[in-house]
Amino acid sequence: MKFKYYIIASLIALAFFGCEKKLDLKNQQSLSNEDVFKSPSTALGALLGVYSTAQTLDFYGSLPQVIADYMGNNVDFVGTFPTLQDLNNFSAVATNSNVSTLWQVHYQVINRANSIIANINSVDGLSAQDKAQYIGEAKFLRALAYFQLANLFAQPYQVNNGTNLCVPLVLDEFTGAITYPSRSTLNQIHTQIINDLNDAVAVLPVSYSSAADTRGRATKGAAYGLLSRLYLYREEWPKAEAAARSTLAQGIYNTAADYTFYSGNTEEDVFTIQNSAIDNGKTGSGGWASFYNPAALGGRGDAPFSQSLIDAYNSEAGDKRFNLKITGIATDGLSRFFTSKFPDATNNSDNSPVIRTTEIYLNLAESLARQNLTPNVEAITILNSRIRLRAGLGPKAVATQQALIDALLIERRKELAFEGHSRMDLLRNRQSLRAGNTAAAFGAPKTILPIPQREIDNNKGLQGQQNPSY
Amino acid sequence: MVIAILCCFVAFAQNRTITGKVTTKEDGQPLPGVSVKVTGTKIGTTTLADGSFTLSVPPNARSLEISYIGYATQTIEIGSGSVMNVSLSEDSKALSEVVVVGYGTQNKTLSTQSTGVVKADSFKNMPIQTPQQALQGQIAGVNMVNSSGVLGAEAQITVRGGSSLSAGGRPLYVIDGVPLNSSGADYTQTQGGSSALNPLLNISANDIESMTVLKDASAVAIYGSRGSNGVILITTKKGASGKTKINADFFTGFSEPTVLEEMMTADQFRQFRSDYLRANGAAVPNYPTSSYNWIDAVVRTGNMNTANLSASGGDAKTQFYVGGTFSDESSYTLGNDLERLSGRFSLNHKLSDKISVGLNYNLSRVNMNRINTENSTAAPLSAAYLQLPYVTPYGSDGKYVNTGFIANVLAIEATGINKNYSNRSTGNAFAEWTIIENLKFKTDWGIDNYGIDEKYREADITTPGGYGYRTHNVDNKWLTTNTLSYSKTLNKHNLKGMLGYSFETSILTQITVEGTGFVSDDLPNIGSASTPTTASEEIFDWALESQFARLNYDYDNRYLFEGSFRRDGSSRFGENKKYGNFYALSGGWIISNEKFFNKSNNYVQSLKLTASYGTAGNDNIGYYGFMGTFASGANYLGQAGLTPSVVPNPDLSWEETAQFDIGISARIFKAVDLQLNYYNKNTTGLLVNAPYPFTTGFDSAAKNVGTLRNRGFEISINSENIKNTNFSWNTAFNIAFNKNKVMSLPTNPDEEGRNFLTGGSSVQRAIVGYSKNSFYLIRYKGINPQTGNAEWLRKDGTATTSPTAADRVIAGKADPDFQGGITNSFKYKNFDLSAFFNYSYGNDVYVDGLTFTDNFSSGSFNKSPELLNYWKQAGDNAFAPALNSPTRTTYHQASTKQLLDGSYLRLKSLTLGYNLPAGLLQRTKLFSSVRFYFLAQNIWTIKDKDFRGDPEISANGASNLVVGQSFFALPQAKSYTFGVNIGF
Repeated sequence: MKFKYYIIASLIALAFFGCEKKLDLKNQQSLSNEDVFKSPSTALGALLGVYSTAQTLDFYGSLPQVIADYMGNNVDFVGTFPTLQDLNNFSAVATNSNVSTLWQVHYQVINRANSIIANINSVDGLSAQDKAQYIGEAKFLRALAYFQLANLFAQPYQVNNGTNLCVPLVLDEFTGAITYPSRSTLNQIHTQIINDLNDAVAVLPVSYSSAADTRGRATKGAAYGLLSRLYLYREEWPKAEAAARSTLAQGIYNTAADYTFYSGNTEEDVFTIQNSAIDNGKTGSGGWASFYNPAALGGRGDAPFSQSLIDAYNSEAGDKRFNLKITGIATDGLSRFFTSKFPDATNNSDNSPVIRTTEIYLNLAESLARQNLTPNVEAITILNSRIRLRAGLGPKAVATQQALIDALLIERRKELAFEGHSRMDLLRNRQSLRAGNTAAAFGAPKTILPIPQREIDNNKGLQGQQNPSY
Repeated sequence: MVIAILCCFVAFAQNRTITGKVTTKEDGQPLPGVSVKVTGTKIGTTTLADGSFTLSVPPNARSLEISYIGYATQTIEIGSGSVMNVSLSEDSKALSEVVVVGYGTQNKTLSTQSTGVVKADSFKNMPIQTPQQALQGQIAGVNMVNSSGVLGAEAQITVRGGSSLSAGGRPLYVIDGVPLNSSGADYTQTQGGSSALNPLLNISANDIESMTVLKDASAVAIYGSRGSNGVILITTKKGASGKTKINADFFTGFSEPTVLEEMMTADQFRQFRSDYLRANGAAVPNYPTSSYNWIDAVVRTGNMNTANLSASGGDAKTQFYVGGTFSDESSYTLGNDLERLSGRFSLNHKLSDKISVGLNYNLSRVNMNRINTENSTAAPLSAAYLQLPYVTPYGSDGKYVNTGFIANVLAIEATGINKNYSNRSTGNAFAEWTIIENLKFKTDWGIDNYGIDEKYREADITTPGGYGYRTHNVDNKWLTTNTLSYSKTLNKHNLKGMLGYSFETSILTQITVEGTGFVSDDLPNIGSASTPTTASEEIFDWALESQFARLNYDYDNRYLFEGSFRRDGSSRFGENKKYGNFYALSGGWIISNEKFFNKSNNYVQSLKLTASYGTAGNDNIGYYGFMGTFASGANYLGQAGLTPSVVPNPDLSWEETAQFDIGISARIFKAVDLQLNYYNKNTTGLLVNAPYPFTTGFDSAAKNVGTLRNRGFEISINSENIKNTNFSWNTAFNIAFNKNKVMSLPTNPDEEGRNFLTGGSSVQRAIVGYSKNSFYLIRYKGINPQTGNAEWLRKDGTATTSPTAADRVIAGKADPDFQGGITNSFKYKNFDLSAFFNYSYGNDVYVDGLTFTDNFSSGSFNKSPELLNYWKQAGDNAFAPALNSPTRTTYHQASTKQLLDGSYLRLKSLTLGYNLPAGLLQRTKLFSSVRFYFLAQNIWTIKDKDFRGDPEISANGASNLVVGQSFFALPQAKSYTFGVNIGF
């Protein structure tokens, strides 16, 4: 009988003494925050994570660029997303989910860059030069994020000389304490971009060991290139000129001979986000090729050429850039033209063009043209010998400064179509985004995006700061 | 002492021998193992295999008591003869008096727990795919809403109102003591739908004997950190000693959708679109002249067949059950089929008087053809609605064409692969040892191994070069449960106690390969792809260690008391909150057992009051949410990258629900069982993905903040209205009122300063002071008959044609005011008829698909013919605005225009059966019972006249925060089946 009580006692003991170790399980897909900035390889991983975030649909995976196209006059909206349809109609609401995600991902890029900037100096085993370079790369990506946000959420510099509200400025690492930043002005954001890019040019390399890295990671040339675009948008012509010249002075950029350079990592590319079949920004909702390709090629067929763009190409016969198109069935079941700049709708491996040499030359030419009351010769040379010649068009005679500027803007439209430029090129020139549509007029409230309602709800600093009409 | 003296006394008297045979009343078969004893004594024996017994009885013995589990006990006077043959009849009442509770069973009368039971009788023969469906409308307070008509869709099921917001909202399912893996979203792809497939798809309803829903704290506290969403105990079929019984069931039937949307014909569309474009000064394109009815092409007559065979039996020492089911079903939607093969084995054996062992084992395989659903333009029905009606599936050469973004769903069905195969084995083995009298030790070891494979392939016609993926997800669980239980009766004091320990762990592995670029559609496997775009393996594990205890005491079957306790340590909880303690106390008073209570009155025959209070938790908070981490997988330039993924929170822990319950159980008028309950549940430490400003780089962080209250009242009535030899009429009715109110949330104020939380819906939110499923929308007013503009209401109630987000108000809620079911069953001689209705009242449904079907300005997809009723001239009471109205581009935007009254009453099932007469069966010498029946489901529905679609819908499945929303989710099927049940 006693034996039984021993058993009972031991059973009870067994039942009430567990082993805490069995409960100590770790996520096998992640590293703890503390481990990330401990070794050079994980620190590089965190930096590449910022680029990877920049790769996503909502940053440079095409959605902000497609939205800009939908608000502009280069494409028609024939898609099915009501949220994009509303942006195309200038009838969007503050709860637009695309706008919300776009804002979210831009601040992810910014915060992830902030985290690199704040922590990289503590990484053991990383050289001082690498540390400085990583910070430079992070600042470049942060500048790109703020620049794109500024273009979408604030009225352009031309509306009130940059005194309009832009977006909240977040520069410090998020360590758990929530802050509620209000919107800074466009000038404040632009100043930060300029500071970041100036810091970056000082520490970034001219090139990397591989072509893909040279074109796909931040470089001196890329930072100067983005500066030249920003100064152009701010109408600071001499600075735009100087920055563009600085890019070209790196010695690794040249305009390509023809239009086969897309995704080629050639001298045409200044900064091109690198995608591959296994690593790209595509989501179920879209990607470069998904939006811009017809269904027969695996796309959605949502964004075909507008009649306005077709007319622009047809205004001069023989424009080779008009050959960069395919005919296919759009979402509305009708046959339309689509760009062929992003052909891989199956894998979405097409690179995301951010800055390319042709843009730098156009920036240079325009800034020169703007500074000289008579048509600038160097600008005319760029226009005719670099841009039009390659397009199969004869030299264009320009008699006045304005004629030169207009000619450059037309080439800019035709050259950079579908690459995310046209909306800002219209707005900074005080033009309507779509002819005959009052809602699309320069300065009209819905030519810029609403601050996401979710963000206003969650950030008391933004309350009362919504853009007008939203 | 008294008995001992009695025994001594009788030893001196002259005994005599009585022999006899015990048989079953139903079929005259001998019953072995039956207890035969002299009433009031310990003198007794058990019957042999042939049912016979021999017993020596003392001369003063008056009667014999013959008892056997599952049969009504008989007391028979001992006459002068020495042979006594007895036939016992089955006693369902005796069985029902036992209720299954956590880690045991209790006598129903003496239980203080609030539970609800559904027995196999009520869902036997139903063409249902998942066990949850058997619960619909059957138990007061259990709200089950089919999420969609897709085969294998996961139902939305809440017990006494949902107790969670962001955490997992599923009840805990426990099958024969094994808590099932139910990480629903982790097993299958959503394929455009709002939720993954039902994680219990492999559990065959045919194997289930009963399902018990644990509702109040006294019932769920023993499940600790997993009890607060309610616990559903599934008891599978077991063998019983006696003659081996063989049952065969078969049914076959067909199905069709309950309701379909009407869309414009090609002619209507071309005319409308041309008029629209002209009215807005736009060029009219040259539309194709073709037309095609896509809806007709994707909707078919579904069909279903189920065959089930089982055998059970045994003797006093060993009982077994073995059964198997094969079913196949084709939905009314093209491409959606489900085939299931399941088998089950159960064995119990007594090694000795003191030790018994047992085993339950279920095996099942499900083979499905899946379809894309809802918010996918490759979903058959969504695509059929939206496809432009002049687009045809075939080209002029008769071959399939790629129709564009709105996919050619006929081509996908004909050329693609979309398979789901799953295998599940669940089971447990146990040994029970009676250590000393009244003290038992039980050790129970269980597994739940669930493996799901999905294979998807698009042919070249759908994606150039072809595309495919394969997922292999395995969730393997094992657990051990050890309990020590003790019971003792001292005079009128009855005491029962139980101590337990359990450890449970599960590992989920997810493997995906994906590829593009196939040389031929005839090479279906990813190994043939030129570009393997994804090769992924991820592993998630968790462990739970628990100690628990329960104590029951009653005095004289009148005053009842129960206390239970559980301590859970979980790998899911942060280091500061690794262990949680949960408890419940309950009491009851059986008034009808008091001496002053006259049971023979005509009004009230039994009366019991119960009250309970206690706590339970919800641990469905993810796997490692407390650790601050950088996630891998954010690669760039061919190198591995890392991105921040989780804000650390060492305090992350379970949600805790404290519940108070009072109940009355009564039998009145000798025919009506009545159960009334009131409860008040407060959930604190709600797991909330507290929204962060995106400017932090994070969208949210998991925190235990927020409180929620559910209060409600439940009524269940089971009434034997008429009970004659030839005719009977029973009614089972239940109704539950629940009011859900969010009490607090993290700071996140709306325009009115009320904190709110959203969970993936832009139109629904939890708002402090209101329902957790409040619809927050701009109010749609209608088309102004004078101007032809659509108008909405501003917050102040004035009309506007350009509302903003600031004009949104609380416009409705997704949770019903009350819901329940009513079943009327009639028996006349050999015929039986039963009609089951379920209903829901006071809930709204947001039909997102209407933002597409009623999209006035888009030319990219088809529209509802309702839009043809657009405004043409002053005074028109039109459905849609004028063609050139400035509101033409905003008319479709989210507003109360898409919010519909979801109240309904539905004839869920109607059954007519006929049993072959016993006399006829006896002559066959083969069959013991044969029943033929006809069953119809969902054949009649009352809904709001303006409701478009099926009101029984909640496409987000198990989500707590998004309920009652649909994006072209498939409506429920109407089905008609014919079947037969045969007993041998």
